[in-house]
This record gives sequence, C-alpha cells and structure tokens, in this order.
Amino acid sequence: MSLEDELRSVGRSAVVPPVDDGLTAAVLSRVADLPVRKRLRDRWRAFLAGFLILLAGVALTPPVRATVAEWLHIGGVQAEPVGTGPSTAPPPPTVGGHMSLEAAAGVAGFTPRLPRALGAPTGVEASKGFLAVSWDGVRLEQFQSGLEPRYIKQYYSGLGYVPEVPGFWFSTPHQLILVDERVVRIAGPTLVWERDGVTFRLEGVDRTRAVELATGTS
Amino acid sequence: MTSSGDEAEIVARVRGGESAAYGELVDRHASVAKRTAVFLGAGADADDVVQEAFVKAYRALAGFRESAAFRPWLLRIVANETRNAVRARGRRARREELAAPLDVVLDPADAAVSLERRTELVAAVRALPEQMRLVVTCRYLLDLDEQETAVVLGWPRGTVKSRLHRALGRLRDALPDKEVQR
Repeated sequence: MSLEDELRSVGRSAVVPPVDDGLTAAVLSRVADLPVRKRLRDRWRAFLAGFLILLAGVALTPPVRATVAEWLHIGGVQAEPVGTGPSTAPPPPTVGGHMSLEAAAGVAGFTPRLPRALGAPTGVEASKGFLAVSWDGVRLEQFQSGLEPRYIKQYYSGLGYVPEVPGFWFSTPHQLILVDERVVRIAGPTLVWERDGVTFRLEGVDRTRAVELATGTS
Repeated sequence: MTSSGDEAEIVARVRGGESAAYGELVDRHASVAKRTAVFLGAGADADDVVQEAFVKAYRALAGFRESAAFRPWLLRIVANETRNAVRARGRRARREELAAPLDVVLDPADAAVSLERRTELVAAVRALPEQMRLVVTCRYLLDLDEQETAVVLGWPRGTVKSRLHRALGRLRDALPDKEVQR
C-alpha cells in the first residue's frame, strides 16, 4: 500500500463527531434577513424590506418588538419565538368560496399550485396576491411573498427545518397574526415553504402527510 | 444527487431571495465542512467554525461563480474560519494551540492499516511545517482532488503539486523503512 493510500486510510478511519442537530436552523435564522444580492437595485430592495419589517415591528406590541431581531423570514411569514403559546387549536377554517381555479388565478394574479394527491379542492377563495383552498379538514394558503410579511407566527417551540420541501414545520399550535388586518387566530401544526416568490401554508395534516403533499405539489 | 447543475439551481434560488433553500446546501455539506474543520485543527470549536463558515458563505454568495463547484468554495471558507479560530485560541492559551491540529480519534475497528501505523502517520503529519501539513490534510486525509485542494488552500495548482511532493518526501524520511509494499 502506498504512503498516499495509507494517509487516505487514516482520513477515512478518523472519527469526527456528528454535526450539531440545530446547525441548519441556526444558520437559516442567522441568514434570514441578510441580503446576498449584489446589484444596487437589489440592495435597495433588501434595505426597504428590512425597513418595512422594522416598521411592522414598531407597530406591534412591545414583547413582539423586543424580539424583532430573532425573526425568521420564510417568504411572507415571519416566525417569532415567544415564551409560551396556546396548547390546542381548532381545526383550520374551511374555505367557503366556490370560485373556479381559473377565476381564482385571475384574481390572485398567479397560478395556484395544488397537491396532486388531494384532487379538486372543495372550496376556493382569492384576493389580489392571495389564494386559499381547502379539502376536508385541510387548508392550503398561497400568497405572493412581497416585501412585507403577511403573517406573523408566534411559536413557542418546535420550529423544525424540513429539508425535503424545503420549508419549516411549526409542530405546535401558535398565534397567527395577519399583519395588515390584525386578524388573530390560533393555528394548529403547519408547514410553511416558499417557491418562486410564492409562500405556502398547509394546515390540517401531520408532518409526514404535509411533506408528502408539499413535495407532490404542481 | 449532488450534481453541480442541481446545486447551481439551489444557489440561484437563494440569490433570488429564497433564503430557506440555503438549508439544502447546509444539509448537503455540513458533514464534510465539519470534517474539514476538525482535520485542520478546530478541535472543540469545530461546530462554531462550521456555523460561522455557512453564514459567511451565504453573505459571500453574490460573489460565487455559478459555474464553480460549491463544495471547495465552501471548504475554503471553512479553512479560513478554522485558521481564525486556531489563532484566537493561540492567544488564549499557547499550549492548547500546540495540541490542537489533527486532534482526531482513530477508529480501532478500521483495519486496512494497523492502528499503530495510523497513529504514527498522524504524528508525522502533525510534525510537518504548516503548509505541508495543510496540503497533505486536504489532498489525502480529506481525499480532495488536486484542483479542489488548490481552491481550498487558495494556492496555484503548481504550488499544491510541489508542496505535496516535498511533504511526501518528508513523511517518508520521518517514517523510515516502515512503508512496506503490502
């Protein structure tokens, strides 16, 4: 065996402790509001986004404001850690509207992506830049991410990165605050992800099913 | 699975503002990043080094050429971070610094080369001058190819070649008559 191969064997047999479990989440929460784009126009947009988030923070209650720096940005959703949260949540609200998907796409201004496995939704609603659909007990919202967050989610534990999607799984009930309308409801476990400038929120199923549905979305 | 075209697409998504997609790159390369930090001497600071390197890589992503390979580019940042960590530790305690590089545990069950021989090799690599130690670590212990080694260390390829050549000569001298053809 050559010296080179012996050295390779040393490398292969060296025991390196596993990577920290929280590494990905820690990195993502640190980079969430950092701009990577270098063009001046993009820098300006990133600055503006940060400024608007700051404004939203100022308008919120003091405990929320205190942790603005810890916000994790997932498309149009800001996740903000809090000390305690609700322990139960009602089922997600059923979408009552019955628009056709084509009409909803026209109102929202983008084509919705739906999990293939669920078939045609029982309810469809849309407003500019926003679309919600539901099936029995399952609710999927999608909205253009834009510069301002649309939702603030106050979670108190169990925010996990889901590499398959990629996205984030909020495993516990949490406060859902609609930034522009101040509507608050308690949401159950939710999967949140972003794709091509559209943010998705899927509620009403467990994590495994949520990941299946999200990866099978087209 | 880790084809470069596929990674270029992830990089493009991250640059487009989809910061969560960066998690895919972290997941794919966390293990080799940690290995690199440990082999280059980060010791107990390896986890911090890796986290810091991924954050710095994200910030520097704008300057990353899309046609380039992500792994060596990232490992270069890991190598720089490790050097900073070793230096900081050196300021804190010199003795620790001396013990730090290549502070690895060898798996006794791995029998391709005897444990005694592997321990000897680690000691010999550790005794090399810094640049030779770095090039041997990247090229053989981490099993990077010559081009990747050049990117990680930031040296021209010719320099990698000549330093490797000299380092192997030194190691052969330090380990006389023990390199048997088996």
